[in-house]
Amino acid sequence: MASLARLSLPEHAVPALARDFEAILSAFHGLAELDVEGLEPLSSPTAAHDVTREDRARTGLSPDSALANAPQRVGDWFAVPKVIGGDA
Amino acid sequence: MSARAALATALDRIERYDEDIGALLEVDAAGAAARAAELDRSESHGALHGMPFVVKANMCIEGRIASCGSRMLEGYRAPYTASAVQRLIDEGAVPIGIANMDEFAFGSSGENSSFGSTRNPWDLSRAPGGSSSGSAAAVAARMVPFALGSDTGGSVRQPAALCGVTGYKPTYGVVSRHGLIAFGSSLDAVGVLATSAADVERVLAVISGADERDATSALRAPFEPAPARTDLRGLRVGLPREYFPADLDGRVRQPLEQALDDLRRLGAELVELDLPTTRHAIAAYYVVATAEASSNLARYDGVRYGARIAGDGSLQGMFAATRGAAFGAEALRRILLGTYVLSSGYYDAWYLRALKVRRAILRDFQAAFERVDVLAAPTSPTPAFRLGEKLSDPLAMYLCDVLTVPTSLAGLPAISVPCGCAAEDGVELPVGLQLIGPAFEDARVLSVARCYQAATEHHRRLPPLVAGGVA
Repeated sequence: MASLARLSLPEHAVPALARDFEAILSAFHGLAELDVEGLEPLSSPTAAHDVTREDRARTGLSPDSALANAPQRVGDWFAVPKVIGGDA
Repeated sequence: MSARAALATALDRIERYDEDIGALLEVDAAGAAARAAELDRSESHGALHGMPFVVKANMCIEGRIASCGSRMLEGYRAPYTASAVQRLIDEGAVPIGIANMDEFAFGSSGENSSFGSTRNPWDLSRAPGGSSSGSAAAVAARMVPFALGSDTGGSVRQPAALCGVTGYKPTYGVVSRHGLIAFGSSLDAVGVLATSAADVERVLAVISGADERDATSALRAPFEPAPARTDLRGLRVGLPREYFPADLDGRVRQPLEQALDDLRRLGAELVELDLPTTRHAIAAYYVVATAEASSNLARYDGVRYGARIAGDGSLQGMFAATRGAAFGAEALRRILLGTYVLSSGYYDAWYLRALKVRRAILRDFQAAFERVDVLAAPTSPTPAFRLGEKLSDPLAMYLCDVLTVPTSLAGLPAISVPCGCAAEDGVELPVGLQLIGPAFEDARVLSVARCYQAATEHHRRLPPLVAGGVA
């Protein structure tokens, strides 16, 4: 589950997390008791409506503002470790 | 009162009390002073002229900290301002600080903040509740007349109850979520903490209304308060039996029963009824909320903002190392749980089933509102508990929300108002009365709360710490 969630967990934290996880899931097993036959899943409490706006350009964030919190910036780009090819 | 005078009062109280309480992560005294001076010079005054307020650290104010109480976003400064905050500023209110909170709004005590626990102004050894811990404590200590918080499963109402203030969660969609950093997108509501329902109404009138920047905001006109009611004659108040179990904490039961007597004395008719799906609400809530959280928190990957830890040097390794190290324990638990209930093979049994149970919970409420106008219940199963008391038991912490999550799943408006105190170890601990209404009947819920507060004094009581210094 941790790798699916892209979480590298510190070794020492794993036993406690696993224990909590088991305890929480087993406490929630009661969910299976309720007869949900014929009930539509409710994913949002309000009725969905189409949202459109006037087809007109509006100003968004400037590159500098959008990049201001970047851990690593190169020019107007967010920089990340190299994914393709060999050494840069 | 001039904006400058109101600001001076707020800053003075922050100076006096916040070292002990720890409600605020940042105070922008200079920015607020400039704004207050500008407002006082202006000829036209907005609806909230000069009112100082603080904002929970998961709402954006351009240039200010929006850390969500997490190491993951330590030092993060918002590039734009949330719609609700902007509307307040446009009406003359003055943002003066950023309030502490449980990390990413995960918690019911304030203790999950990466930046230290906020303390309850009524008893500094106790938790203020959460996750809007700083917002509630700041209002309780009268540092500010109101604060914004967010309520996903009770995060405005529960700390309001534990801190003895009024806390309001509007109907889902009544206040724009634009600029509120997402936790559970189908549950999140921007809420208001203040010292009275009347003040909540003044703030709600400003921040509510459709917003094209939030596709889930309801296409409705802004909230308008209902006319004042001098009594509650003709009002039918439902008492859900599931919210008053036989083993309800006596410290909560006693003030609650007094409050119900007060409602009766004001002319309301009290009707016991059942919301049978209530016992499944905690499980359904924590499945839905963690599923949505695991999805929303996928964005914290070390690329665009926040922490970055190199890990093994690969891109995937950087994602995992950053997330594993920068999220706190409760965030890790919720991401893992949410990932699990959404994963192939478990989706139907957990997530889909929880959504069906959510439908059943909504139907319970809808059936109840065929019979009654509002529901009354406790807000929290206990008064403020001691810091550290529940921290090692996540399930015990989840159960703090047992009385607030059903309304969140159904998207309904609900308020917590102070209804008395329980005495323990020589200190008084506030207790909250929760009033719940049908969807979009925000004005009804607030007008009942206003009528109750006009007839009672509980909301005026001050924590001993500040009672001497605040008129």
